[in-house]
Amino acid sequence: MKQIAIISGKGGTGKTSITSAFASLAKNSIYADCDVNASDLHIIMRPKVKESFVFSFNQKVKINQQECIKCSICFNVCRFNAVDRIRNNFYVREFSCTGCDLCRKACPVMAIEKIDNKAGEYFISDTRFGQLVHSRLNVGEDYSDRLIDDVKSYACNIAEEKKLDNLIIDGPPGIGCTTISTINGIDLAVLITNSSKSSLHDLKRSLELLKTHNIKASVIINKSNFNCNITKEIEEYCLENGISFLGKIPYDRNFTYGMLEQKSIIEYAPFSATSDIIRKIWEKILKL
Amino acid sequence: MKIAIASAKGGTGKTTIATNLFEALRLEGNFTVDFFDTNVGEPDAHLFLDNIYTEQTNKEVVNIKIPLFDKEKCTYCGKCLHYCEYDAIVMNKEDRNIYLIDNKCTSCGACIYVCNDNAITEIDKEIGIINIRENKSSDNQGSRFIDGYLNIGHPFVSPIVQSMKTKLITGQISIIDTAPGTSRAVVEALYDVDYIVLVAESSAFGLHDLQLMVKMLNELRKGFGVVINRYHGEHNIVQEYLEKAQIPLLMEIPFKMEYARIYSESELLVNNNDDMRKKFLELFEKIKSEYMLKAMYR
Repeated sequence: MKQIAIISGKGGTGKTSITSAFASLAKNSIYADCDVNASDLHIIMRPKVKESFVFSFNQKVKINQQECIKCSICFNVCRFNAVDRIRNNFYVREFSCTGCDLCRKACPVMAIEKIDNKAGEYFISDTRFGQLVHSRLNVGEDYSDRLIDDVKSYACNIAEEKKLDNLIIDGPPGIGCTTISTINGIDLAVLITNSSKSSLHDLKRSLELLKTHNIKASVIINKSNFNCNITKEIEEYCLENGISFLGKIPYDRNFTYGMLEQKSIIEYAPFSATSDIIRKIWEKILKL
Repeated sequence: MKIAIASAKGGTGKTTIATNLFEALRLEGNFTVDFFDTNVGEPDAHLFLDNIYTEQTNKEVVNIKIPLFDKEKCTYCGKCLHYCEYDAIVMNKEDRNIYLIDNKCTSCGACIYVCNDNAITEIDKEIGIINIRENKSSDNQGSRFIDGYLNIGHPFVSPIVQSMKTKLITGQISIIDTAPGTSRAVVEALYDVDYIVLVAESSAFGLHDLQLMVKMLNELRKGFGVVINRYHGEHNIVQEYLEKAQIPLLMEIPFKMEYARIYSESELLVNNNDDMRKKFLELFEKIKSEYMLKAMYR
């Protein structure tokens, strides 16, 4: 089984649009949406949920005002500024709380209790392309990397059980914890970039991250016709650094039109030039 | 006034709105404006504003505290193991060995708090840097550009955002560019700002992610409005949603190849297009009046 993750440094480069196009082309594959903070893949894949699992990682805490003796120990031990002091009363700011649980353990009168924190859910679903593991994370949750670990390992297990060829992962933007979890153990990273200076800047940071994790990297330039000089610059950069360059996809409104009908570009405009380019890119990926 | 620019989806144009709004205000000259780029994973705003600021930067290293175990003093009681909610400590009693998995440690301090044997000290671990740069020209004195860089490979960004926010000066206009998403690092950047400008793309993905963000801001009880970017002039699902949810629409930027090209060269719209400059000043006026309105009803 081959694990392929579609990621990018900069956001909005076209990860999900291109992932869904690959889904239309791939055979005998399973998909995982690891952009848990703003997942969109389900909009196109239209999953029918078969099973769902609750994801709760760290439990948050609440201060019981009746029992609190205002000793301010919790306020002092918290390193995340998550305990708020309002007129000598103490409250937990839920969004800032990371669930380290230290305040609860330190409270001398046990006035702090854990509250059930259902951080999110993840699902295993059937789609017209194959099975999809996706999730819904409550807003403001951190440590979404744990959810990604769950989603990925679940998808991996199914892939191995059913002897599937590919696990195709729609990844998050950036180089933080979510990306690190996503690329952990994959065989190939497909970086989507655009033809702008800022995309190139972010691409370089992403490539550096992949290097530290020893992961094979390949690059696609999406919206490549916005600035041909920078497109060329990116191509040359890949060549010089020995990174597989997969292809250039020009700006195409069909992506957005297809999105409105919940279709990938391959389904919406199968005979368009863009679809042909993506088919060629997908063949290249299978050979890498 | 602290104005943050945010969106759950990436690439909607946060940095474009933030840098252009900033430059439009700065050129007006009536205010001292600071710029904060809190997207520390992939900071881009400097590419657009580099020529305004001095090359000389005031660098500050951001450290977090991580535990260092004294293997002689340690009694291998396992309390720290029990207190660590992140499974970041590995201990082997027989071999008298204890160590930390760096990337799991969130620096919460629970282990050092519980250790009775004085076996844990804390050492600094560098996770990134903050750059502070001053305005080059003499007009608009005191205007600063502040951005942060996460060390590649380190997973947690919140501490860098936190220490950037200590540089905010009250009573001054600050524009805060944020990372995409609804993670804790974004909440960290948003929770004490005065007004939030959400940037949305008029597409199905854009609408879905906008709704996520609206939900979060309602929970945070923040005032916000929306800028629709890359508007194509046809059936606009985002606009429809805003009307229904009674969320103020602050500005619409049509999709134009010209704008895409200006952006791709890391240049500013307001420097290339007078009309745009006017539009961004209008945006600021709208933000101000929306903010006042909110403050009146509070």
